[in-house]
Amino acid sequence: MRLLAWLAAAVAIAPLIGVVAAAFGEGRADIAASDLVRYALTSVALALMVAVATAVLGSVSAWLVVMHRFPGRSVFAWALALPLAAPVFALAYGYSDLFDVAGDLRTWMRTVPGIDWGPQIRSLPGAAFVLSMAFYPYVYLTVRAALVNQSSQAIEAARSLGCSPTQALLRVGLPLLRPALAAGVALAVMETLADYGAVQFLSVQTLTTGVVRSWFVYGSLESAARLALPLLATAAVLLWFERLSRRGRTDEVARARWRPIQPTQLSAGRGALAFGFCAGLLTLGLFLPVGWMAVNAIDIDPDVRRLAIAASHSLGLALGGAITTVVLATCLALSAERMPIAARISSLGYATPGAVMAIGLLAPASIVWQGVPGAVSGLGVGLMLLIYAYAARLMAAALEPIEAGLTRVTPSMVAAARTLGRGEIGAALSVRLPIAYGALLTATLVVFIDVVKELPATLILRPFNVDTLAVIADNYARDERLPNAGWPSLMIIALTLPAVIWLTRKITRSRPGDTNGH
Amino acid sequence: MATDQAIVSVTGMSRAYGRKLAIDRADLSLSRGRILGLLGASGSGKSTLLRAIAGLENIDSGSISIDGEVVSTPRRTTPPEARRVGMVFQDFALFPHLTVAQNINFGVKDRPNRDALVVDLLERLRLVDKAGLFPHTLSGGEQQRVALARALARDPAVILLDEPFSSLDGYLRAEVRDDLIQALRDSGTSAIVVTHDAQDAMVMADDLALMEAGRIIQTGTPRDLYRHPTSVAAARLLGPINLIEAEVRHRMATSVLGTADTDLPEGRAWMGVRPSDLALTTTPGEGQAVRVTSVSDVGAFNMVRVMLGMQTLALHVSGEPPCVGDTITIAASPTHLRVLA
Repeated sequence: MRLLAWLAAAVAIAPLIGVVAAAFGEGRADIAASDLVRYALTSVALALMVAVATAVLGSVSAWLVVMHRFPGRSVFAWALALPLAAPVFALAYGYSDLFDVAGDLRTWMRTVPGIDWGPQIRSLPGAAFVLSMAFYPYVYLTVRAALVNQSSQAIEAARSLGCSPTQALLRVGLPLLRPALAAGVALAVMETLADYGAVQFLSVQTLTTGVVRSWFVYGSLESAARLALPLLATAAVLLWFERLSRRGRTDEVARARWRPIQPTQLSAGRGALAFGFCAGLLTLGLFLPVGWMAVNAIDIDPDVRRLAIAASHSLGLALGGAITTVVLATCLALSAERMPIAARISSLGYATPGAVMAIGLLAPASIVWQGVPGAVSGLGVGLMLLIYAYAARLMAAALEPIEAGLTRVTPSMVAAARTLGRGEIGAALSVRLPIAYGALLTATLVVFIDVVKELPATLILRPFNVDTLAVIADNYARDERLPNAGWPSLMIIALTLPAVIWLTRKITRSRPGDTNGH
Repeated sequence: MATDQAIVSVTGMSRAYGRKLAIDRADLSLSRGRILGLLGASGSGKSTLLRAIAGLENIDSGSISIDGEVVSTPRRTTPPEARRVGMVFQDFALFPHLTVAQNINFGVKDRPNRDALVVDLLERLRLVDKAGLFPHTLSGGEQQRVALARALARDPAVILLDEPFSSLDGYLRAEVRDDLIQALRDSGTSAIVVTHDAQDAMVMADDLALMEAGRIIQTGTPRDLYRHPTSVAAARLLGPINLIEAEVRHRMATSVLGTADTDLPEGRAWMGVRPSDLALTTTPGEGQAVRVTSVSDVGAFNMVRVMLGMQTLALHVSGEPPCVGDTITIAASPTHLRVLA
């Protein structure tokens, strides 16, 4: 068991070592230092804008939904997380098409109201807007969980000590929320720095687009790895920050005495405003860009055969990636209490952009490819490498729900199984894993959703002729055939939406002390 | 304390966590068919000792034998699944994804007569109508019976019970305790019960071992230990006791409450007397005059606190209690005075 756990940790860390090794290897420096600085500054600016926007949108929406009663509140509680179902590049295609100068909307605006203005989506602020709409659910979910879990007692204690409701919120509520807010923003920033499809399409040059371009345009592994280094360092810092924030989280406070917060009934006017805010956010984050994409996609005849093959590739890779990742993460989780370092090492992968992970795998991959002569076995090795990259990147994402699920198994239950004749593995198979079954399903779905949406690592590592839905959407978008890109994008959403709905409903219905599966 | 009949024998066992010594050279013996109580305060090492016997903890020195077979030495630990022990945990540790019958069946899946065995245990522990239920639907007492049945199913040489009543309260506790003793006695299995509650220990155990700071400080029958503790720590573990300074001279200890024989060396010692052994007296020339500082009606008797010099003593008074501020005379029979190191 321990051996498997160390293997899982090694899977996660090996590509990162590969990146560092490649960066310091002998090779051409095709990208000038000035470009590196420009890419880095753009990445920082984008990350800051997304951080501020997601912090505001995510926490305001969570505060409205948890602390107030207004029409649609119970639906918004889970629906506000639905933008997680859409790949961010799909939102970029939708918005870009919607506000295109020659597009239907701008044409109509010029003709009917006579206004020739529209937001410039293909710009840094435009990209920040799109990414914020895609990533605010990370902040929404963490702040919402903190608000639900903090119980009414802290607020009530502040009220009994003379605070008005507003003062209680400012002096007690907000400081208690700060760790959750920081954790959510850290996740949003990690995703922003990792994004390739959307920023590349919106013509914003970040470090991640630089990594992919270095490989595809210049074929330089060393340049790509050098660009990846600052991303790797930032990922480590963000991960450390996110873990640090979590350590201060107040979820565990007074579990036994947890009492739900009694939401305030909003007046009709304020209720309508709250409804408008949440509905507007959901519209901008999902319905408007995806709906627009769907409307345009209907007008064209899709290449059904190509889409079907890509869908089967996406599904196969997502299932393979999810099962591999969950099996490895399960080994890690089962041994985590005795080897926490292995679990911590594996977490590094989660903050690492997929492109960086893929670059780290390229050097060992080329050795493997050279050693495997046949085209069929080459394909097999390529697919295995791709699944390896997914597992390395998403190990921590799977580990977290599994660890949470395993907390339902008390140490005495394991000890009981041992005294009743089961060995360590027997106790894991007969007691620990069956009890954490829901958590394993959650972890599988989390990885499945991420793999279906994944683009940069797939672009770099996929074997020849193995296109996923994300890859062909990217191909169409590069050719400016956005209505065609709509079909694979919508199919991705169709694959992930049921899983996202199931997960968000499960998460938003959970209560403190209930660690079943998340 | 080791005997030829010992089903469990612990010899010179130590266990440390870093610099903290959890068990310090413990010697313990459980005779076949008897129930041994391991009594100590929280952190005294009693649960660690129990877990070491179960094979859930390694040991640093000494040895543990079960039914004549050495199962733990510093070099080798037979894993729990290969020992003939059954354990009932403080939180019962029932498997929430299995029914009552499946929980009991868990440890005997490979036995040919398992179905009959499970039915027999369900009947013996009055769980027949609960067989198909999941643990969370059962009361605390029922959960405990399931835990005991599950442990008994493997026909262990010894049953280990770790604080079996700590998660139960009030009247349920006494009821469940009586039930459990009966079930254990009926099974004829040897058992070690860890508890911090003196009453539980005295009611359940045939033999007691008292633990403090990782050491076994005294062993014997409950009555013997209650009547003849050899140290202040041992006396306190078995219930409230008043301690008065005494002086030992020529194998005789003297305090303001009287004199008692002792084997302790000359010098200062403590004289202990239980609140129930102190009495009001009206006999002239006998006892000590004391002032009443508080009176509390605790149901069966009144708990009266008095000042003797600078010291507060407690005594149980049945019938009409004195009033606060009264001066009364108290005395203890010499047979109730314990001289303690």
